[in-house]
Amino acid sequence: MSNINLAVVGLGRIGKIHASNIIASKNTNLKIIVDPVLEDGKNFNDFGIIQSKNFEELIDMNDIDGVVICSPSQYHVNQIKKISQVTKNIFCEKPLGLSINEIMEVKSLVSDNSLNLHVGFNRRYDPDFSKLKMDVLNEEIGDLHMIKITSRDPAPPPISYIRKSGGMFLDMTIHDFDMVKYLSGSEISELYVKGGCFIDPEIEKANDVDTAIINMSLKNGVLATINNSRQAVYGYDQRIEVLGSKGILKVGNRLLNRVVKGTREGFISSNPKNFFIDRYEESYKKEMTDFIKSIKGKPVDHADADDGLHALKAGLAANKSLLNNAPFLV
Amino acid sequence: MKHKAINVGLIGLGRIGKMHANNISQKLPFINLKSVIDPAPDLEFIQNLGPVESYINEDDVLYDNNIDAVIIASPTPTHYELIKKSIKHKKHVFCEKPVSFSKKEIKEIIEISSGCDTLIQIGLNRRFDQDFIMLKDKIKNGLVGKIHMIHITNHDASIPKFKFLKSSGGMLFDLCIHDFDMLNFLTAEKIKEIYVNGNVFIEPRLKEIDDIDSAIITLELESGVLCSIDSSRQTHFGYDQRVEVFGSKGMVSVKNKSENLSFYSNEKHTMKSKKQYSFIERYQDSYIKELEHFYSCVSSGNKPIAGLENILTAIKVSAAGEKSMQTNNPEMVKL
Repeated sequence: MSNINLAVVGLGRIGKIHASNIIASKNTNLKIIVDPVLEDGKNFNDFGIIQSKNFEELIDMNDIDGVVICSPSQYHVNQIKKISQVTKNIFCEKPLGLSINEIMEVKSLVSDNSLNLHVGFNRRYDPDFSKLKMDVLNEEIGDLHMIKITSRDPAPPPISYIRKSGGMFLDMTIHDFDMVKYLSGSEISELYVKGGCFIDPEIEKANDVDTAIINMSLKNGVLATINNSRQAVYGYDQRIEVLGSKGILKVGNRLLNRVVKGTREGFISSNPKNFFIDRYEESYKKEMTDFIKSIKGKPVDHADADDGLHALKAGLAANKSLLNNAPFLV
Repeated sequence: MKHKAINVGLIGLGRIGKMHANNISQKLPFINLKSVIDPAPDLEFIQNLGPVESYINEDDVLYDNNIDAVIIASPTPTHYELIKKSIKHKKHVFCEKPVSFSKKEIKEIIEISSGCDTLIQIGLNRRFDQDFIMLKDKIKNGLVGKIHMIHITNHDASIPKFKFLKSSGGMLFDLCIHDFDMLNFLTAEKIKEIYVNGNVFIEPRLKEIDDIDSAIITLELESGVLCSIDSSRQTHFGYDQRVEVFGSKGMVSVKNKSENLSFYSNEKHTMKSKKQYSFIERYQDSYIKELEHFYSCVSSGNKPIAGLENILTAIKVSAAGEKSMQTNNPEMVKL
């Protein structure tokens, strides 16, 4: 098979990661990068990639095998619609869309055009979480009873980003909602949210929260909880515990280094890796490798439009629950 | 200052009663276990305690003028009457939690006892655990800054007998009551609101008596601090007892103690021991410390740091939690 030609739409923080991973992949060309500003385009000057500020230029190309969408969330659905005329292979960052109608539209695009749509829930590709899921499937701890997720960022994003983000539940917790589905193989049926603003009053002014505890029931009866904070001063805190009828499975943090110092004062070890780009580095590579594999026709497990819909519905229910201080059905 | 030893009578020789008896006879020289009361006494056990009088009726303790204090470790439904009788007979009282499932009964005891010299301490032993005391100190010293969230993990290693579960008052009164008190102990704040999401995974018969064996609980403290408790009756890997306090400057936490410190690595994996298995192992020191505290309060007349007000505060949360399970809504804790 000849080389695969890919396109990246949107060259922000996550677009740059995907672009670099595509460049590093064998038998794959990053043919074109589209971005209205191309602020960091110069980083990719040496690779013979077309750089365009005009999205339509991509639509006019006839040798593109797959597109990776990393634009701001509000553009996703329209771009998927247009790109589906160019290729069936589309990778789209999360969240897939910001309303249920949008994602329903994507779902019908997928079935009408038999699209191979991957949604960028990268944590599914993290080696630790994949192993956790395998162990759950192999019933290493028997029947599933409880899932507990700790998910805290090291620092809040700029307030301008928060204002456009759709709120913490759609921006940040959406990964955790998907992780609950991924690990349990079941969807969230009901959730109750308690949240507040502890870190920055500007976040409250933007009608958002920076701290939350989410209490969930899944369709298969399993209980689950997520706790989120926009600011853990000690670093990116990403832990999961799963309890079952025979025991527990746990994934702890990846630390910056493994040096431990012990003195009269006690023992000191390093903090967790600083942020998602470091912590989930392998997962971004793996999700792109799998997307490329799927273009070549190999079957791979991946998050699809239904998963995008599930996570969005959970996020919207979370917003309602917070507002009404009552549990809501997803 | 040297105080003289006190004479105590112990009522109830179940699991926790036997533990108190052993602690007193082996580790608390200034407390003299004069009598034990149990309707079906385990004579072999009692013989090993040394010179102890054994009776089946509590009156043999209550009417004994040489007894200074009683330790009540009988089943919960007997506590209310026993405390009232003890007050009447001017005995100081150490009573196991939860004292009563009724707020009214506890309030009544508070009222009766407030007018007299009888001192009442409740077995909220985790307040005497060195690790949690350390955690509280660290919070007090500002290590976490302003508290944002507290997470408590409280799981039994193996599920108690169904007979016990039936008379336990339910998981929120029996097991999670410790966690409600822990939140109060660590923050000196009361719980404002509770939401309980529970299920039965381990013992199907619990469904028949409207109880649960697993729960995730969301709570809010008076100041707005967000809390979660996850709890269940059976882990298999040990007693899972962890607390995590997260705030503006960092996080402090208490983790589990392992049964032993040995490791084994082979060509497949590395293994280490289970966690300490029972509350008697994990909280061993706290049970001794709480009785030392009781002795020092009896000797000095000081008020115990685990008293009726504390158990009342916790019981109110349990009651609101039960209501939350019925309504499937968050419930305010009635203060």
